[in-house]
Amino acid sequence: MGRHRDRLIPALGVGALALVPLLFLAVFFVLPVGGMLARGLYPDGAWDLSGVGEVLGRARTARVLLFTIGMASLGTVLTVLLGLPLAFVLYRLTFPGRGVLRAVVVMPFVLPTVVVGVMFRALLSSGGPLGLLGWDRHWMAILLAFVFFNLAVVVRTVGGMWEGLDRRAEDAAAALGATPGQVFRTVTLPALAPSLISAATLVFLFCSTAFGVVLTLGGLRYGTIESEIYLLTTEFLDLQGAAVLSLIQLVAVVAMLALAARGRARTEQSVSRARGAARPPRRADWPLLAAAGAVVGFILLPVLTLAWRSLRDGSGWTLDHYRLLADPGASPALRVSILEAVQNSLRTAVDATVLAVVLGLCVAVVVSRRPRASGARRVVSALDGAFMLPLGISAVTVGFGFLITLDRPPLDLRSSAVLVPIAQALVALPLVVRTLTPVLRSVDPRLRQAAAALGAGPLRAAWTAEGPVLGRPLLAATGFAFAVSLGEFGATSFLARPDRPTVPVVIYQLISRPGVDNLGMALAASVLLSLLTVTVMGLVERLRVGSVGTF
Amino acid sequence: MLRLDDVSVRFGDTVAVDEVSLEVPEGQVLAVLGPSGCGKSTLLRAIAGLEELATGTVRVDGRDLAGVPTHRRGFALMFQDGQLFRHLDVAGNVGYALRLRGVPRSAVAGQVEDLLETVGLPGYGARAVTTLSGGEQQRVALARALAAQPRLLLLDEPLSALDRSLRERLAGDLRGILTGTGTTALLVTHDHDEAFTLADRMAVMLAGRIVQHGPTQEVWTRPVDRQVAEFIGFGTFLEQEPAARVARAAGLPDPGGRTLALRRAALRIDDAGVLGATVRGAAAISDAVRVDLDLDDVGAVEALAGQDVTLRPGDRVRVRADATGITVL
Amino acid sequence: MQYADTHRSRTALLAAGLGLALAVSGCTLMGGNEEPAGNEPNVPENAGETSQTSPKNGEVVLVTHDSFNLPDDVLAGFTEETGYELVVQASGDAGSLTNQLVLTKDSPTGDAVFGIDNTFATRAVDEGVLAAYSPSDLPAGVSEHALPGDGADYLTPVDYGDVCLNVDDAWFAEEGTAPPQTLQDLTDPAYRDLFVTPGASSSSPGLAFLLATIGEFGEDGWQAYWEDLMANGARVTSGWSDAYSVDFTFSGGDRPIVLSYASSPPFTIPEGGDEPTTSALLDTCFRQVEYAGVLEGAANPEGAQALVDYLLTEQVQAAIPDSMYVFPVTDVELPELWARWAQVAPEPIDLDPALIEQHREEWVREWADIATG
Repeated sequence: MGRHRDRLIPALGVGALALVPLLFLAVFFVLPVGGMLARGLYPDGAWDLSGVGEVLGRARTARVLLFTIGMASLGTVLTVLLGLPLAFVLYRLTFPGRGVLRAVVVMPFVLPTVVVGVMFRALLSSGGPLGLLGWDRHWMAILLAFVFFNLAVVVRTVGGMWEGLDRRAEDAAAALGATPGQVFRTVTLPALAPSLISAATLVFLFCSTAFGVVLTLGGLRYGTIESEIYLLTTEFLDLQGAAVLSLIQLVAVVAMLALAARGRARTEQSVSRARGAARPPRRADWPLLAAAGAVVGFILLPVLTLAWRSLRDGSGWTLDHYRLLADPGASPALRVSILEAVQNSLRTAVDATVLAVVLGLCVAVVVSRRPRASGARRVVSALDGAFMLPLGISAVTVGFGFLITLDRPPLDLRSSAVLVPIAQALVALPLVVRTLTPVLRSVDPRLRQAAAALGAGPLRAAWTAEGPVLGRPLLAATGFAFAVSLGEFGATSFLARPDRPTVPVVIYQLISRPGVDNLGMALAASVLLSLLTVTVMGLVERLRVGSVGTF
Repeated sequence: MLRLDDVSVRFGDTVAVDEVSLEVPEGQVLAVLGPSGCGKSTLLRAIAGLEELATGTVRVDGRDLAGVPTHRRGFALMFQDGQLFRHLDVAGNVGYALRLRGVPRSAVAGQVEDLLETVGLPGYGARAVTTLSGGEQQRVALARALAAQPRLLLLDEPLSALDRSLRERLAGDLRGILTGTGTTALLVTHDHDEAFTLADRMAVMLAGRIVQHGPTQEVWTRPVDRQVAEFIGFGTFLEQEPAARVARAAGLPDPGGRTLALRRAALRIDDAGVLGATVRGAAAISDAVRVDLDLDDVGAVEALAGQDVTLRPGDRVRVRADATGITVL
Repeated sequence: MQYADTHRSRTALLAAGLGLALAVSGCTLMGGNEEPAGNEPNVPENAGETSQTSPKNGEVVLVTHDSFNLPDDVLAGFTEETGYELVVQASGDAGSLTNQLVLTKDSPTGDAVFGIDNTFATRAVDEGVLAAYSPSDLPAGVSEHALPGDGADYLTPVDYGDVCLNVDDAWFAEEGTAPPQTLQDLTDPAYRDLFVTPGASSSSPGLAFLLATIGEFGEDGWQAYWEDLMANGARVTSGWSDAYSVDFTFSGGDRPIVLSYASSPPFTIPEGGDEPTTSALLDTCFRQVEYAGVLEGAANPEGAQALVDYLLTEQVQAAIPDSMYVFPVTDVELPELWARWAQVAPEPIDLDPALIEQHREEWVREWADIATG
């Protein structure tokens, strides 16, 4: 009996650990989305599927679906291809300024899509400096924007794994006669595969639900599922049509997640980790350094354009737009000064980050366990996917869902200020999980068993075996979650209270109003937002809490 | 066959390897012996082409390897923890180098099976590497390295991660395989037993420099200075009158003004011994008892006793001196 | 041993960091709750003697769109005058706002609404999200903006704006050509590749422009017009922001004709100059009127009525131009810039709100096929 209990308690512990995030997901995701689907397909207490065939039969539906999936796939592939050399340079090499570059890479992630859209268009439009390319309102522009926004996901997710990878396996392969290319293909890539798949999954979800940037850069020629759902819900109030599209979106996302999970399961391996695997650059690294430099240049171009334009007005150079940031009366379009908005943003982001990291850690610990029973294994894998879903479902569906489902006690939260950090945490959670899980899974389970054999309880054993390798990825995840919440616009604009707007919301309000000063302030605020991000990420890098170490 | 001249490796301001010159003749095994952090692993990596040289040359058969990348050097590397490719099974690991060269699949399978036979793991091909014990992993790593038919096998503490009995058994096997296949090898280790068992020649490395270099037996018995002697297991150092006294007891000539270095095994508790001593303490080790003695007119020394005697602090004993564990520096 | 020590201190550091973060977040979350965020009135009833700004009658929740904006002192004025605490909830545009109200009909998220416009008014009225209320003595000028028919009983006009073509006069002067005057002119080859507009499916001024063309060319004639327009090189962007700040020549783009508002030109007076370099074509305007109303099922209907009344007071009406970039419905004095330069279409293009509601989806889909193919 005693032995039975010994085995039961850890399982129960892991189950309890899963309970809190599951509850969170159920209340703040399943309930609202279910509510919206029910309004569309089960109105007035009876199934109504009359419009389903019509929606599915529309030529536009098929076109939109193909375009969404096609662009998201292309965007994912390109982002991964360009992100890999950068991840190598930033996480496998040591050189002065590396910390700054690592932070710079995250900048695009927080820039408001509407501002980036305008900047990209300013660069690419027929009168702009890159007008010759003819990419204004072309799908190439959308693709570039996908890469621009999501590079950080690949660089940080893969970099976190790469950083701790023991160099000697690659050395052994090279000594056996493998060329650098063969070493990468046969040794490095298989070891990176789980984190690569993780990153690709996230990028795909971000690309397939991108909304503002697709419309701004593509013109209206290119509709995506997301923009269709938005149109049907907010303009036409065609809830049935929106529900059908949401279901298609859901099915596509679940299929993709299942595929990714299979890929991960095939490639996952425990990896020996070493400290100090990074080395100074060598002559042979120049091609990669050049590629990484080009990618950084590509990131900086729109950012610098933005900074440059924020420093100009009709007559020349000026700091006025920055001076106005502290002035609450600077623009009649705003009720608060941008510095106040920065404070709101920071406070909300701290809440959201703590929420996302705590919940994400619970999820990551649970889904990194590899139970022996195949049923339990399937549960774990489903759980893993479940927390990715919020990224794949339209923000407008979730937002409207909040309004129609969280309307009675004890969950009457519709007007509560806590919904903003909760919504942001919902977006940041998958990033945290995807950053932590590959690392946790790569820890040899024998380490945990060894600690348990030495008399450590399940938590203590997990901490002993996994705590040391978790330090860095946890920091990375925290920085990531923070950046996501700082930059989150979709859900926040839906839920933020007008007296406490966040920076992206303020930027959006500024850019939607006429006046040269409003645009200038919007740009200056965007620069401020990215500098803020760079600073926070830079500090996180500097903390260096614990290195990924072997025992 | 392998020849290093004035090889230095620097990391920033730190000199990890300082003007090392070495030679490994064809078919021989050279052990570079040194404590942790002495730069021996860096030296190994430099030979493999994994670190850039600050000065000096690495030559194989007279040809300078400067500018030849690791994968064209025709070497193989084996680490203390194997560094097996975990996404491949045992056969996949062993056949890695063969597949790189485009050897047909069917031929690979045959050679892999032969190699597994050689390292004593017949039929292990389909096993996942994570299911292997430490010793088995090292055997697979050895097979993987041998599959490449390297001109030179580089071994980084190949046995250090294993437990004692396994280490001893595998050391014997490894020695047999290396000589049997005629492989030229360079081994770095901090463990003198490992070096002693595996190597024909030995180089002692301290703080980035090679301080002694010669046939294993010679280095083993005739360390050039006290530092080397301490590192290879000489625990007691005597001078002047005490040195002369012990030398005389061992039937050696008077060392004059020079230092006499003694291994533990040089002094044995033996009723027939000519020296008298008082026991200060004793502790059992694997196949003997280690005794701390106060040797009359000499002072504190270490000695060995048979396991059948019981010794207590204060006991008077007789001690025999044995010339094989004694050297003059 | 050394390792164990660093390990322990690292653990402690992590724990401390986490604890600190939790403490900070706890503070901010609680800080959020202290303010009037929830639905429970946190106001003592016996507030008779306290200062005027202290609310004594509970709170009124205003549901509105994200362009809603009034100066703080004007908002505070409501509490001073009526004793109600005002809570504002804003999200989305006029369409999203209306649909949100329809979806939450059974348990409304507030008491009053502001920001439903004439293109969505019929839906709000028909769906029954509004309670009948009309201020007893409407100030002069308000009723000319009222909804036709029954709608006027539910929604009270607060402000209006004209969506019109804007032209860059400086650009046309430099080219030595005359700017267009009418919608029909845009299909003239002389204006080929010169026009940019936000799309009707993604932008509310874009939709207004589509409605203008439908009003002008008729329910059966607008499609041909749009085909000609697109054939003449019209560019369709997703939002007003990028049409105006990227493509419009005034902002450095290559299109001197843009869809914007009649109130936009005053913002193009160059530094040192005294006259806008752009102007609005007043024969091309569609008028958007924004309404306020009391929500059906409001927890505080009296407060909601007081709020609708308050939106028509001189205080609010006078603040509207600078805060929301639209015209007040009453005859208040306009800010100097507005009084001098902002124009109103004498005869905006008219389209029945009920007709808009009936055909919106069909029109937008048809438009999308023509304009974004």
